[in-house]
Amino acid sequence: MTTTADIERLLREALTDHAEAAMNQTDTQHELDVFEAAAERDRHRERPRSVLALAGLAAAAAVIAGAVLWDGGPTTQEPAPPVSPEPTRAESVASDFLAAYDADDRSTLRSFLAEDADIVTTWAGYGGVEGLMRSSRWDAAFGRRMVSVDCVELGPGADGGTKISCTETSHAAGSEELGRGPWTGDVTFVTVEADLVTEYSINSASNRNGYQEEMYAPLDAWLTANHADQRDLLLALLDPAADPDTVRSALELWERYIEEYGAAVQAGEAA
Amino acid sequence: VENVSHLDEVDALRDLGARGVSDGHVQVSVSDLFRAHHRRLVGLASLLVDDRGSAEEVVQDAFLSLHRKYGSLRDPSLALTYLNRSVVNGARDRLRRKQRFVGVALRGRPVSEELGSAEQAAVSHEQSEQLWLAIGGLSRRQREVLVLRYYLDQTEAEIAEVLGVSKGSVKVHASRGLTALAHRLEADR
Repeated sequence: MTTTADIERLLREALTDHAEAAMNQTDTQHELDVFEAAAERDRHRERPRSVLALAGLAAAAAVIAGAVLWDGGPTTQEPAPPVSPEPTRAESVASDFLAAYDADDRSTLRSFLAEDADIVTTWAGYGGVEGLMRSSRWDAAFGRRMVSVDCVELGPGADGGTKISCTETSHAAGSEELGRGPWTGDVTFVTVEADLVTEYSINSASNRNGYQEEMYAPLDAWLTANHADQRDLLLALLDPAADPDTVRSALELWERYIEEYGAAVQAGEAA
Repeated sequence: VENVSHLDEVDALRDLGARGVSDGHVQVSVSDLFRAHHRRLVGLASLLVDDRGSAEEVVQDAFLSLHRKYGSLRDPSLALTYLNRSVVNGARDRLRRKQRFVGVALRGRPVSEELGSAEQAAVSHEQSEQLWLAIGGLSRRQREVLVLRYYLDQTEAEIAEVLGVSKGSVKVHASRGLTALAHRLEADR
């Protein structure tokens, strides 16, 4: 017979075990960087600032930035246009670096990296330069495309250089053609020193910016329903040891399935 | 990896909160609070949602909300209560939007399943794990009450304030939650 005291003891133990497992796996410094970047963006909303937009979208981004920046601002008959200070050198390097990533221009991407750059991808156990290169290839195959990126200096990096936070707005998996997205909030942190990227890490907002519900969940369901037998190959990209042929096949499969999915949605055969 | 118990961190927030802030130093102070209490709050959130990633996001949202309101807080020592409440409410919202699929995507792609299994690996004690599974079967309110009572050691009055319910309601949910857990454990034997 389990007494109430037994249950209470076991309950405390279970809660403490589970909470401390999460506590010991979280990276407080990284999360603090994310928080301070968001707080910085909050402050920027209160004062005019330029948005670094990718080619072809600069005008649209400027209109949006202007509309947001002046919303709720001082009331005048003829409000002055927002001031657009030039981005700093480090901010420009960061946005150019991300533009190279977005274009899957891996040689340019490599040229931005310091020799001993510290690179953390979202993949468990797979970072470094090669992890970043595969990430760039996969994002291209997945149809991820940045619409705009807003890079802001956060201050000195822990080991020198200048830490930059870049907030991205992007489409993915054919979302634009399907009338979904884009989604905002993925943040890339880079540290720039002597025009080179010395640190890179990302913080995804895909769990909270609507992307999961609107795009990934229906795609995931369609893949599960139609191509479950290819799951291992699709996820082989997560394996640092995957051979080049497997990687190529997996990338081609992602590209093909995303096209098929888009066609299925357009034909009313998928959500 | 820091192996510091959440209980070691509780007093630090009170100290920081009691220090107060002056205008213009909001960011520094909230960052101090973040450094001191982020891990503890991720622990708390992890008990109310189903994965660490969601827990971290709930905590981020709580600190951002605090940051936006910190200057208008009359009593900075209330920051602890504010953060706890934000985490509980944020976790509740997150569960309402709970995803229906297994795969977790980061930057649009699936992420290694190793992440999930690594999180589970730390919970090794068999009975503890069994009970954790049973906690997942409780009603949302029962789970919240038991977490606040047995993890944060809050009183019924404190729990009632955080959840915005009466003390009587807290007592009922705690009692029913414990009974449900006892039945589940007996059934599993």
